[in-house]
Amino acid sequence: MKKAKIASLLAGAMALTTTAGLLAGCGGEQSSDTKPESNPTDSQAAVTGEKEITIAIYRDGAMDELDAATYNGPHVLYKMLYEGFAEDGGTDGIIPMLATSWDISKDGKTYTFHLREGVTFTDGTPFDAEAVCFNLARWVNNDRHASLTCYAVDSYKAIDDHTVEIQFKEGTYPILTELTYPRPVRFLSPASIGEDSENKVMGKFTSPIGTGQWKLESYTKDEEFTLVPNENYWGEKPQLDRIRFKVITDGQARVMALQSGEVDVIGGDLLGKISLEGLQELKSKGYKIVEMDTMCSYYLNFSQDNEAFQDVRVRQAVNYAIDKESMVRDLLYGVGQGAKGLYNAEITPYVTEENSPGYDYDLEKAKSLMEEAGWKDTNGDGIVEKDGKPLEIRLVLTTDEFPEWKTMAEYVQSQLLNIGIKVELNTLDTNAYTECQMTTLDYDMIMQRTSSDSWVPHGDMKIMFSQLSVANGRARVWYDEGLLKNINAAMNATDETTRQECYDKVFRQINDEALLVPLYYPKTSFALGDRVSNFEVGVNNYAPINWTTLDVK
Amino acid sequence: MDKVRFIIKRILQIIPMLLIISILAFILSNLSNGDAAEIAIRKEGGIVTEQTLAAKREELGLNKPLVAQYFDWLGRAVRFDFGDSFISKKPVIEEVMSRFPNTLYLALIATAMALAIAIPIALLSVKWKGSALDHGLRVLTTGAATMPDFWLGLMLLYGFGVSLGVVPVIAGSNLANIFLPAFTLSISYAAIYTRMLRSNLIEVMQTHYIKAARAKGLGEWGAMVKHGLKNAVLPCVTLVATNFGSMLGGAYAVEMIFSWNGIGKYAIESVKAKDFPVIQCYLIAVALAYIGVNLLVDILYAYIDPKIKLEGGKRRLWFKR
Repeated sequence: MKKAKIASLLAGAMALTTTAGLLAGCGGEQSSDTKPESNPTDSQAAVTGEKEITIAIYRDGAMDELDAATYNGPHVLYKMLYEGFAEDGGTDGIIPMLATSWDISKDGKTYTFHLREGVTFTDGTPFDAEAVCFNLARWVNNDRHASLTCYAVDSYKAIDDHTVEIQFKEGTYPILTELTYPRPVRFLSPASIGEDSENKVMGKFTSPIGTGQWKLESYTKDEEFTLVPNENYWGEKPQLDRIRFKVITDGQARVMALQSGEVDVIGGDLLGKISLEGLQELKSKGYKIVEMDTMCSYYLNFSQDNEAFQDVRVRQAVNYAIDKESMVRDLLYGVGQGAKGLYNAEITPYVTEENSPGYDYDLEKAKSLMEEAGWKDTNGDGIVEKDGKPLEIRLVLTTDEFPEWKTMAEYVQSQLLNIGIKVELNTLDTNAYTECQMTTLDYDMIMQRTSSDSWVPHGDMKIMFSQLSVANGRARVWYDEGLLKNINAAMNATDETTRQECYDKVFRQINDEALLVPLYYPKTSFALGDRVSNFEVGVNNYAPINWTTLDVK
Repeated sequence: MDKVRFIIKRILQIIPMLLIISILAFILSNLSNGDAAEIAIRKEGGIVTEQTLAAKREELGLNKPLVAQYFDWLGRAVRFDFGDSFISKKPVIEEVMSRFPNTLYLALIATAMALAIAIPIALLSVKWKGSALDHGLRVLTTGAATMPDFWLGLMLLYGFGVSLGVVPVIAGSNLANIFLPAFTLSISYAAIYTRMLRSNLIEVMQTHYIKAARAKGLGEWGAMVKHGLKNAVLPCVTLVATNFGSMLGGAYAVEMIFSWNGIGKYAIESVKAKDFPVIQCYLIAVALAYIGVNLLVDILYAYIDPKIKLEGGKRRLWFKR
């Protein structure tokens, strides 16, 4: 009796496992026969005759949180769905968008924007001064945006239906640039924001409704979302009928999804980077690779509390001792460039070969500078000493954002040993790294990166050289009163010549006093599948692809 | 009667266990690097100053002493209110439960596959014990047991997704595509089950009742499958159940590689963001699932093996090596 019970139970269990196994097997085979998912773009396009492209993205689209005033969601989408007064036009400078023109008062504080007429949001709401003020109320003077000059507003008002005047507290030159950022200065339909009886202004975001070239068609959280052209768009219409974004978190999986034809485009710093190894693999397989310059740059900086690094000669020696060219050629597959000055002078505003020459590799000079500074190897162990103390330092880094930092840090370690500095590498997770970088400053040297594109140089200079409120008067990179004064002078200079002069002083000082060690100018890369045509890189990482020309064969 | 009392007792034991887990989780996540308020501000693109930090701490309830924070949490948690995520601002229970089914399916299929692979292989290697086949299978299973799943996953994805093009690279939590991720997850378990089943089977095959079965005319194969296997599988139930329980905690590497939106990926993201409410809810959910599965197994044992008596919350355990 009991035995029968056990037998039947076990038999049941076995039957279940086998069926489940079979079922799973079937599932796998089914997709192999019909191949429905392996290339949805082809099949769908064939059926409907629509031109659709599939692009990989590393994170969820957060379409239910895409509020310009709260910064959730991928940057790129803000620029596709919403528009601001103006846009970064790359070499064309700042170009009009929802404002057709603007007047700036002499003191640089009052901006009068003339709004484009006849524009409606995709829900039919007209875009006018009222809609502008609705959006402005949601972010101006909110401390959350304090890293922007333009957040500090004295007053704003609608002069008529299509004119808005904003009085800023400070007349700094980057205001217009800041107004092109993906957020917060984007105009959302008031219908995007739900009614909130308690807080009229900061009501809860409900859905993304803008005036942009694209609008949301469908959204499956953590899986995919599709955008289609806004049929009432005031500007140029795109070539495509649909862009499908597929969420693929893993970098290797993105490279494979391109090869299996499931996506047509991968890459872009804010869409999902391609690892250096992945890039080599795709190159060798003949995929079309498109590279884009970015103003981002990787560098090392010193602890201002480390006595050895308080001596400018030691800082210069470190700069001379690292062969950046060889690092890029031999370790980074020749992608990108070895850094000269902090920023790439070829593409960065106000940075020139003259104000940021950098330090070419010169081991002899580095060694003699160390000697001059009093650091000598007296006991023959290969490490230099001064007053009997060996020069041993701790270099902090994280590999979470850029895996290649590990390779670079190991290279730096070996190069600095050549001038007798013993480097211990300390690799931290993102949280510990950020804490170290911004709060405790507990390092001798740390590997960091600059901001990129429209943040450079004005926003970045402040981030790097202003005092941190939580770190005892130290700055994130180096604190020097004179330097900060020149940075602020550059911000407030109303004419180009004075501004350039101020920036010349700033970059000259950073360079001559070797306040940091520029290492590497990376590149943004894209890899394209066969179907893609007319791929043009956009003006910056926020708008990485020219969505207007992008097409499929 | 005994059984009912046993079950009630076991369920009551869950409570102190969950309390201890939640306290430990609370302490550990507070000890780890980074300030939750600071991370939340940076995620929103804000800048960190004394003022924004203070405001954020108040908003998230982090300004109170740790003990008060814990009791606040506990007071709500007993009513199944786990609060809102620091990052997404949505109810944590929704966030966790929306991903849990994906993990459950993966765990179920992977366990089924592991057994479906392990049982025939174990039978084969016992039938031809000591042969080249047996040795070959041993090498294979040892290799499989030690294979890292991220490596296996990438290789399988490359082979089947890219080279052969028979499965999509982006599984996208679609049940039709569960085969590869489940297979990847199952392999190391299949290897362990094979080893365990094999040694159990060998032992069982030497018992008197198998001899009796042979004596009444059953062939070796028949005796092994009909009588031996049942008894050899039984001791594996505990291990399979425990492993199933730990699979319910999610499989980060597999989920990442196959774009499978399970709970493992979400848990790791939340730990990185120090999203306390999510971490707490996740740990409670996983602990409950784990304890639940084990309890079920204990109860199941009482029914499938009459030699086992449920008493005092203990049961006979098998450790065979």
